[in-house]
Amino acid sequence: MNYFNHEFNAMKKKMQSIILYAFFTECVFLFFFAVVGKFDESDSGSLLTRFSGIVSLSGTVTMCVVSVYGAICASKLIVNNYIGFGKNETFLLPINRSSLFYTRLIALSVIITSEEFLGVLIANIVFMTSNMFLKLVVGSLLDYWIACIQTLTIIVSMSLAIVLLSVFIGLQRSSKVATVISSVVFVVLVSNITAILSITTANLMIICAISLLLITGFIGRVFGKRIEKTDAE
Amino acid sequence: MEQLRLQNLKKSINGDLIINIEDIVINEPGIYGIIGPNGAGKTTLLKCICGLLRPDEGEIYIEETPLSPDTRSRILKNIGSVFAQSEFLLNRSASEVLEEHYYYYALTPPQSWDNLLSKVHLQISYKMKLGAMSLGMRQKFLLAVALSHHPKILILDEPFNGLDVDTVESITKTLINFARTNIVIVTSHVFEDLGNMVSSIAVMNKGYIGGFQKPYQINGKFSDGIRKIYNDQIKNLDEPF
Repeated sequence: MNYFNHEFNAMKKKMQSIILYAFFTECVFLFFFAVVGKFDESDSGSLLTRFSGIVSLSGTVTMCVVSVYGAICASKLIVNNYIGFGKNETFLLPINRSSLFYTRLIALSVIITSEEFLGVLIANIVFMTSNMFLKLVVGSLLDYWIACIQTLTIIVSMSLAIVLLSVFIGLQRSSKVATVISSVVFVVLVSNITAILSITTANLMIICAISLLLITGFIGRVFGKRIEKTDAE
Repeated sequence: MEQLRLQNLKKSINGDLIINIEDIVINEPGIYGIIGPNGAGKTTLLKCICGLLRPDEGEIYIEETPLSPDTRSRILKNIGSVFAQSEFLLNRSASEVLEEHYYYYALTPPQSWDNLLSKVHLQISYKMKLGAMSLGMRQKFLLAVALSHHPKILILDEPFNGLDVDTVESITKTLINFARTNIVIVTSHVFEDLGNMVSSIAVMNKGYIGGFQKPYQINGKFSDGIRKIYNDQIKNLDEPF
């Protein structure tokens, strides 16, 4: 972990836009779903008249965007260093290979988590403040923030798990493209489940998301140990 | 003290035996040239010495310490290297590469990189990306990076490929100066490049390596002497045992 600050700063320079992607996506879809819910009087629209529904759906869209964008960044900043000639350059550094790998994963995780968290949180503050005047959705403030915190926990955990799993697939396949494609596939697979479970059984979804993150961490540890014994190209 | 020893070294890739070396020892400072045809195993050998590839059998000792995952990072601090494939670095600027190098080698970055770059007779903007540099500029720059942490062993894989005469001369001067107190191992398949600089030369073919021997002149040219050594050794290495 001695190299954390260096890796963190190097990655942060190239991943600063995650917070903007998270903020704008969350903002746009919070207002979009709220407006649709306001004018949709059918039964299906009832989902969009509650805070929990709006926050969960917009959070899911943000999760998809951040996951794919995060995977694109990770493919350049991590996968690229462990495939092809990049592997040679990384392995020539006079430091423990696995500890550098873990440090890079942790730096990536901190950046994605903090930027997505902040982006989504600020978007929700903006939405909630606007809602006081626009009255797009009616409900208690407490309900809103409970739904918001639950959704934040779920989408941040899921995004991170998707990005890291995509990185591991990219490393396994020795391909940056495989990283991005994997993230798209994961997003398609989990987005519906995340949206539905976040609304109906949020606590169960939180447990699932954190469990997935723990499994991802375990896979990362296996990859780190393997890197110690891997040959370069 | 033995600076470098390769003992019973064997390395196969995809079932093909790429390296099969009995015993090679380097003690004295100097420039050690390894010549051989394409596919002889020269680059693979250099990668093994740098810990990039793990030998299937045998040991590599650097300053009498066996190279292993536990000792690798300590040993790498004393090795500088430039490998032929530097495509990975093309998107990075000179200052980015230098800053990262200095950070990981625990060196204090200087106020200006000019001193370092002047050692290889290079004047560039630090913001210049490696991809925007000419081949010669890039080779000089990578050599400067490899020398920056004052390694005891410098490993160069085909450093003169595609370079003009002036650049070859410039790099040669730098290497001769460095090799007064350190070891340089350089591979090539061009005799003329190594002719005026190597203190010892060995031929490598099909994974086998002949012993290092001092080059001599024929018709006043070291390159012709090296050609003779090559022709003599390559026959034995075709069917060594």
